[in-house]
Amino acid sequence: MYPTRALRKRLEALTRAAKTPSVRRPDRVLEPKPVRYGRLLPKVGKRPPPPRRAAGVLADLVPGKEVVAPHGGSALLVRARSPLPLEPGPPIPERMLFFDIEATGLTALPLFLIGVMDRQGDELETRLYLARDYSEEAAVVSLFQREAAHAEHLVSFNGKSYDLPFIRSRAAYHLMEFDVDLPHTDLLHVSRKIWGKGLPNCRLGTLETMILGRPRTGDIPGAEIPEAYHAFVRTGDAADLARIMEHNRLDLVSLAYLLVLAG
Amino acid sequence: MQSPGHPSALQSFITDLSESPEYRDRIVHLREEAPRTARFARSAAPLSPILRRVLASRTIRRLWSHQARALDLARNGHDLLVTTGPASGKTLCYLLPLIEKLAAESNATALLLFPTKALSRDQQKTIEETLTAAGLDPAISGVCDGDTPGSLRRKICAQGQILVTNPDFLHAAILPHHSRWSRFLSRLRLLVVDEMHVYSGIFGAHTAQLMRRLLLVCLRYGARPQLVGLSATIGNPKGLAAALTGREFKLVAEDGSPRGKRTFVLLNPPRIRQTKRRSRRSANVEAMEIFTSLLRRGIPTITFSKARITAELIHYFAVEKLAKDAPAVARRISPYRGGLLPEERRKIEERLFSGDLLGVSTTRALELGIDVGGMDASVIVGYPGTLASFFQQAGRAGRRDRNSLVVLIGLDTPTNQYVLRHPDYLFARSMEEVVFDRENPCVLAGHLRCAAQELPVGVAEAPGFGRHARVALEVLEENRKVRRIDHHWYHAAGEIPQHEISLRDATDRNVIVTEASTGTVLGEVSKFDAPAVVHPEAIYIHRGETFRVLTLDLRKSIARVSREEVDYYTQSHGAEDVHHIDHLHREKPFGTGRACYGEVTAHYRIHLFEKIRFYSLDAVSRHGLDLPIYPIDTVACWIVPPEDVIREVFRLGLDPVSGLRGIGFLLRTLLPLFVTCETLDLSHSVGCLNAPWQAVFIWEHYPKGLGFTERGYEILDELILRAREVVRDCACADGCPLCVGKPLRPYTVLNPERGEGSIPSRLAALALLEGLVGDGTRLTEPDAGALTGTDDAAEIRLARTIRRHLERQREPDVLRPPPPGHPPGFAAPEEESVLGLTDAKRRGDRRREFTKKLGRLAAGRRRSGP
Repeated sequence: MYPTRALRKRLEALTRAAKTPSVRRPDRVLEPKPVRYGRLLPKVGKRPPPPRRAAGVLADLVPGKEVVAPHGGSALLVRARSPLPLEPGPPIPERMLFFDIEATGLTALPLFLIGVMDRQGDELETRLYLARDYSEEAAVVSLFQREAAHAEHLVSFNGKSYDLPFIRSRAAYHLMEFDVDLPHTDLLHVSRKIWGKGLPNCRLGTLETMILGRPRTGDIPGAEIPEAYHAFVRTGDAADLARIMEHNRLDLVSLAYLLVLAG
Repeated sequence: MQSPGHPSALQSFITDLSESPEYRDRIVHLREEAPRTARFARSAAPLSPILRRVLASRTIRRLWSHQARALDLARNGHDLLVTTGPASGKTLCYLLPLIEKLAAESNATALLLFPTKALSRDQQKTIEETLTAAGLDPAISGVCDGDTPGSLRRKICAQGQILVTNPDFLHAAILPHHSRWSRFLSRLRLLVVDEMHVYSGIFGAHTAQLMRRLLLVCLRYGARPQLVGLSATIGNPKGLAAALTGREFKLVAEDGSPRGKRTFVLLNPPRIRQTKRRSRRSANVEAMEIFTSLLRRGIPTITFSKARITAELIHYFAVEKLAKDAPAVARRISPYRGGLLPEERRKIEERLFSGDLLGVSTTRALELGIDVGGMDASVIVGYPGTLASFFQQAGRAGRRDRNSLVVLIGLDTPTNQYVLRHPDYLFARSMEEVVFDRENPCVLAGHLRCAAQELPVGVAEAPGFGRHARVALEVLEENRKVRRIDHHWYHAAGEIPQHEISLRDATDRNVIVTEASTGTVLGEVSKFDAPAVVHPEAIYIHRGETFRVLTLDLRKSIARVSREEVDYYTQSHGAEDVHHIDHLHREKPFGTGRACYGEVTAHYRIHLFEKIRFYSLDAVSRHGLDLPIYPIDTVACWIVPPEDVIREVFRLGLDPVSGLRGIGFLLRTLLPLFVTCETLDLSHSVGCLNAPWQAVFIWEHYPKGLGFTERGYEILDELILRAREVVRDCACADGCPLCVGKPLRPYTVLNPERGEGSIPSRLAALALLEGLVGDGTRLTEPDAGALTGTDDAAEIRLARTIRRHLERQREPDVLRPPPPGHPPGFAAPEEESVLGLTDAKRRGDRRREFTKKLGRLAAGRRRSGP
């Protein structure tokens, strides 16, 4: 008989050794607290308040600047530049605005990041508008509207049925007028038409790997994004947030590549 | 259509009934209420032409006084509450202001809340007719609930002006997505809440919070709707309306509608056996006979009985009986009950309304305001449990100024027999008050999550939700559900909290009953009732036809039945009990014993069924059932009397178990006097898997509990002394429904036809209580452990209750027996790493963990087996 039992025992010993000591939740620590009559009463200790807007950490990882929104409030603007796609094709018009959102849920929950991109000379400029906490969402939506006001054409991936209605409903939530009514190219529909039959699915990741030949590594999975953002608001630790922003930027750049390839 | 019975037919029936030698002895009370003439009034300002058109379409020339007053109040911008009797034209009290508002402001909107789907559909018909009569487009009004297809929902959302819905839909589908409904909500001018009296207990507490959320969202869109409430007659209408909505209402209670003479007859079925139980003739058979003889005389009659099966049986017997000599009448009766398909129900409602149906045998399903047209007689089988319910059922008979008859037939149960002996209990008592607890911390915590999802909750406005809002928000923040940013609380989780929180305790998951050979769907049964009603081999009666249940698949929620002509029906027997204690939260010495509070798993199981022959009602045979246990995760308070007291009771020649049951029942009925809850929110049982056998449990019916029993634990000294007083001062020999007797449940899943078990012993209960209380000095001892009675301690406990409530929402509904030999203790807190997961994800993960563990256990047992 194959000695599975012995093997399993060895494996268990190894994993036991590798396990890091677990940390108790600080808020469950019973701290003695003196009260009247001199009695000691165990008091559920409060977790120390998380460092809010841990500016240092965020500023180190994603350097940006605070911008004031037209409707009041402010948000963080992070700019980045990327080269234009090299593929031959019609040039990307100047006032064509690519956009993509990141939200904390599929519906009825707030968004926290709207990335937009357009061509500036012979480079692509991405501008990511980030809500550093839940109270800045309105500013992000408002800043997107300002961006859209300068644009003549919108490009997105599934934006016709997801991103744009999402922003519209969040604008309604914040009692904002939402008057973005531009010609809109949804690259999901375009890609489905061109490549859809030959692909297992038409997700952006699939298109990047199989059509553009630009597979990503180390990208944050979409399902983890909401919790990562909540964790950032809670702790101020921007490590995962930086990954989300990079994810959003790469999405946008891929859109430009797709657009050029699709003609 | 046959002409309805002659007006004097009813009077001659009553005379015949009271004079017949057969019935003379059965009538225990006969009471006549004088007729009332109509009082008319004019509204202060003249009616607009559009309202005159509406009234003309209903052939109304003058308004009754209460309708005119309601219109005046509404025109002056008051919130108003109408509590006039059944069939007094309450609908017009909100329709007239509604039409006027729509006429005055062409894009105004109105929200109409009805507690059930059936009521919404019924009212929608009326509204459409009224709109047409007023010359408005009937398509501006629509029902939006779980049954409405998506396309229609979007249409109503985009352009509807009158939205007819229920609290559950408002809670789960409108408020979370309120920005989609911003057009509707920003123009909301009128909010109508019908049947306000049903919002009691937990449903009331939830609805009050829901109303607050709705009004806050409206305020955000700049709307402050006027409120119109409609309610049956209750003891505290203004208090209830104010508690539900936070507004002051003007009350319209004086009924201006006419009423004919009303005769109440209380009937007691004759004694046919000299046994302790089931000695009287079946009340259902008695009712069926009255029902058929009324129908024979052409008198339209409605019969209310306790359960779906009895409604079907009364119909079944009545058809059999009438088929021989009055087949035309037999075709004009129908059963009506919950669990029928919506289309089928609507068809019966239509036939009722048009007068095509002469008789209907129903359950509580027809008690609320569905328009049943003109019935002349109402036969009520068994006292429905509350006065409000009784008069609601009685009021279904008597259209406008015609005379009516109400027959109450007593069941052979202690409570019913008591009511029959003391008619003053019905006619000389004031109506019950409808109450709920606005400060329930668990309800509060749930709705704060929802409120934060809908709008950021300002730190200053949070206390408006309830006294404990601050603590609740802090615990929610700790559990990563909300987060405070500057002066507002924001939703901070990846889930939509409204979908985690149900407004009602009963689940809306249903078991579908299908015919096996054809696959047609016959109806549905709630998941909780399914084991009792559609267990394998049960006889399912559907509109007078018998079906035998072949299989019941609880996982897929399907029961397959096949049509079979049988001469028996089935009656299942089950029990609910505390199965085991999960976690002990608090414990203290109490009298000579001790008292505890903690989390328990109660269970509910149907274990056998009887076949009972039609007509003779003899039990033919009994069969065991192998159905799964239905676990209920909840909280309980329990008292453990010491062994020597029990021994003492034995020595006195009394049955201690009977006494313990009696104490359980007493505490359960007394708790609502101290804590805002209902007796039916609670259950009692004796002993469990990991507690001493003599422990008396009082547990909550609501999944995960809502803290009634924790309050009970805190005031146990008052409770127990009151209990002793009641037991000592009762005049009965050895137990009656006024002291230790078992209560009659107003809507039980079982058939009370078969009796309700024995009454616990009063003397044993008294002996136990005396022994437990002892010299009465140790009743207010502090808790074992350090959490004693300071304010800080109370707050810590409150926080702990809410925290555990949140944690338990993340636990799946599976029966987890405790590890043997371990005394129950505090629950270990959830790991930090899983707090970020949504409740649904966590439940799923843990269910898989349990299943795996069970599989391993079973495998281990097989290996080490015999």
